Amino acid sequence: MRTVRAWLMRLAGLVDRGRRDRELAAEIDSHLQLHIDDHVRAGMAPDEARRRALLAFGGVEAMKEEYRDRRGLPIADAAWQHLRQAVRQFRREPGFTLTAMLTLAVGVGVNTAMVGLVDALMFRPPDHIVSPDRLVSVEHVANYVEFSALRDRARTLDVAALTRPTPLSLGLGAGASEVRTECVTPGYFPLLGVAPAFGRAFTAADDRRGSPPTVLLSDGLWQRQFAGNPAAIGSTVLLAGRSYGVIGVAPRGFAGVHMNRVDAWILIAISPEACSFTGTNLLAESGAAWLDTIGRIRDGATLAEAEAEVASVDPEARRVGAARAHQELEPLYASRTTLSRQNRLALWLAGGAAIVLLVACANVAGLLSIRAIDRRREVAVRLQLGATRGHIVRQVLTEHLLLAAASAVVALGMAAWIGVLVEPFFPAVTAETMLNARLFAMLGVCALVAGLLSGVVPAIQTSRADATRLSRSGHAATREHSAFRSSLLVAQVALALALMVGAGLFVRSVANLRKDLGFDLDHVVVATVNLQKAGIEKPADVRSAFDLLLARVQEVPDVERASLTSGSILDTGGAMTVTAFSPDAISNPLSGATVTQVSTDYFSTLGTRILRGRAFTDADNASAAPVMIVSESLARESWPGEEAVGKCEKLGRERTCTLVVGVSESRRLDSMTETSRELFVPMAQSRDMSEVPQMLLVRPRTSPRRALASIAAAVRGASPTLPFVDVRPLSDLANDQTQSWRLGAAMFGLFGAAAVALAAIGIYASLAFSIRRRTTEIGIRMALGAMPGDIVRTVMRRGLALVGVGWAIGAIAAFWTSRSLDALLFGVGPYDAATFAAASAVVILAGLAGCLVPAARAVRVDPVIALRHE
Amino acid sequence: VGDKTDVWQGTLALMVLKTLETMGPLHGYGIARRIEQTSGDRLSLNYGTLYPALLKLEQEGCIASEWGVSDNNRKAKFYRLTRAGRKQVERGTREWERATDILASFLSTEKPS
Repeated sequence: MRTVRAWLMRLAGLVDRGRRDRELAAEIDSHLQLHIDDHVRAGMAPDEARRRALLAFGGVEAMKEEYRDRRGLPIADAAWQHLRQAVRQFRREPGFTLTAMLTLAVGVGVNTAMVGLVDALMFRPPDHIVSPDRLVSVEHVANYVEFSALRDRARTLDVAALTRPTPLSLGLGAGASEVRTECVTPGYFPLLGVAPAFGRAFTAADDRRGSPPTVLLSDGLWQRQFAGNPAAIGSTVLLAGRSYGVIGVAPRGFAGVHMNRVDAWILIAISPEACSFTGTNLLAESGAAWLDTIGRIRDGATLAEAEAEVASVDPEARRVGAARAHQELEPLYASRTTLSRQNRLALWLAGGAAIVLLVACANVAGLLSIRAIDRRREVAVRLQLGATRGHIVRQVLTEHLLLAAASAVVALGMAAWIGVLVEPFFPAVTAETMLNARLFAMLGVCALVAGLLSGVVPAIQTSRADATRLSRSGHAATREHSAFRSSLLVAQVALALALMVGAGLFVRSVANLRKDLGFDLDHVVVATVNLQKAGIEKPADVRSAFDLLLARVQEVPDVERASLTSGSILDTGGAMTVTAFSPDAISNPLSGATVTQVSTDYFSTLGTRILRGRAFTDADNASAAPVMIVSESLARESWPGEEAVGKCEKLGRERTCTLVVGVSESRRLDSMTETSRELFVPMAQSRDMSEVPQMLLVRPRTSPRRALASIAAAVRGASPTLPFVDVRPLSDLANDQTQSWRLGAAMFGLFGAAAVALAAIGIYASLAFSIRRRTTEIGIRMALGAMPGDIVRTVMRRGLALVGVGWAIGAIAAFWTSRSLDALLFGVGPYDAATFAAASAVVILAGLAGCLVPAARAVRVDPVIALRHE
Repeated sequence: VGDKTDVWQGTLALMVLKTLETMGPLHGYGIARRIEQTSGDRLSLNYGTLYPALLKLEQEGCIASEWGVSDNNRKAKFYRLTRAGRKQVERGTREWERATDILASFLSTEKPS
């Protein structure tokens, strides 16, 4: 107890030293005075009295020193001294300090952001969910019938079902907007352990047939739509044409079980039409697969017990037997480490960031090493004055840690900025969830490691200053460290090259994705509207609504042509196929092809060329003979070596055959990577009446961006009963598809640029330093008649040698690593010569720039001044 | 210094506390003089060494200090014993007696002949 108190007091003794020092001095004075008084009273002369008093007291300064040590904490005191001196040192060299600090900040910031991203994507359970480790995904229960059976029978686990977020129209007419809605069962929120921030969650009563529809809003939607007003609860919103009572608001940051963006939650049983993919009621269908089922294993039950129970409910599992039993349940948040394309990209980015950190450390280590040589004289003097080597090392390490701490602050801002930058690419991650306590800890560790990594060798170098040699001559042994510095520079060049190659491969992938798509990405506007979900159920009504939209758009002066399509662009997921017409048509050469109903100007609107035969005309109507157009890829596959135009084939169960009148160019639709086997029929000849238009394609006369507003106004204002119409340039839709490539290109580009810049700075600093050291030598050479060219050559030789070696090593490294990038690329091999050449050019040019500036300075050395300098 | 004994490590604190217990509040010079007198001038004490010891005792909460005025009208910092200090005197005295006892009986053992 007494010791604790004493330590606390000593800690307090660290502050307010000035006052404490004055008080001690006063106490000593008073002591001496009292002693002198005693002596004088005994008859001593005042001078002699003073001398005796001082003698009896002992060494005043030594005592003060001891007193001060006792008062505070000597270690903290020393650290404080080091710190103050470090600050003074940095003030004296602001250029060096700023460069080193920003360099470290770039490395640490980039790294922190990327580690945060990977953490949020793959390792951290989502916010607000209680004990996520007990949550499982029930793999084979995928429709409402199976789900109800499991829910009613399961004893070992609680279950809930949900759909993937579906876009639903909020409101009608021109003011409508779109909300991503997750359809759930009432067990969803209690199962996750998520309580609404306001209002209440769903109850069993809400789920009963005939109950008024209810909706739970996300925090984001609540802020947007109701400005965060709690009065929203109890009001109603119009969702997909129906009125829903708002019962609650989900907590901020809760983004559903899959960590997607979700704006609202509604109940499956109350709104089956709005929830199902196609707009039809799927509650009673047992064969379909449209639901995700999740479960929480009840307390006391084990995963194995739950597995067995689920297997006993799943009829298919019963048939196949126990062999499948172990695939029934999958831990919901453990499986995230499986490498989805997105997660793999995140890992690569983290790797890239680590390289940037390494480059930054190498760079700072180089700078510090140069500085170590610069400071040798000072250090030598301090060693001669009695400072210990340990003292010097501690001093230098303090400086480096201070540098790291300062850079950590800048890095924090940088990490936040990168977080905002990558946020749109990863729906599961928000900049807010990325920046949390774990990340701050990470940042601290990262900065500390960076500070030590870049500081240890220079610290030892500094302390090794040889007193006798140095005091004789200001600069000795400059060569000594050049091996260390050279290898750092080589490493920087090599790593920069590897990053640039990565960036180049991604850039080429993005470029390739947009090339030869088979349609015109940059000159089309797409309007999507799901009328069935808005309660317009009769196909005839949907058709007439789309006809109205088409007519309205064609009136817009900016519009060149427009067309309707039943399918969607870039995604064949929900499209009809030929087998859908006829399950037994295995012998049909067109089996499995995607069927799209299109209106007349479809091909010219999209810019898809007709290679042979003709496009559809207005004459291809219901009264004419049925015709179709096949894609080149389908034609080649169905009739290899034969001309497709003129073939006549039955589509499914139809009695008459449909004549192929044209062959269109192949298109890459799915994720823009796969060539699709496609078949088109005129909308006017539609036989399956349930197939309705889904998209309006518009080719404006001007750029899509400029025409967007007028097109959107025309379609959204077409009718006051229309739900939200999503009007976007086609290239925007494509951007969603290509985002992983674009992100890769952007981030690797950013990292590569940072690394190249750092390497150039490193080379520049190193050469500039060596020239400064050799000013005298250069001066003598020039005085002896050396030409400027000779000087430049000498300087450049070393720099270029470094760049050359770095380039060679980097090329090998890039060659080695880019192989595993293959899966993330498109249309470009990992050993793309052009990419390697371009990346090499960038790195070598940057290196050259780093050499040229100091070389030019060397030439300007005035021999007279240089010689007088010594 | 000759035949004077240096103050043993650790005993100074106890002497200071005991002095304050007997004399009441006292300034540093007074404490030093008192210790010298009590020892019959057999102890040699650099007065200066007293102050770090006083600081340590104060940090431990055994004594408290405040500025006051001495008998002959000089400003001086006075130290007084606290409750914890009083306990510490008792404990220190007991420990010291035990230690001297042990040492005394140890030293008085006759050499076996």
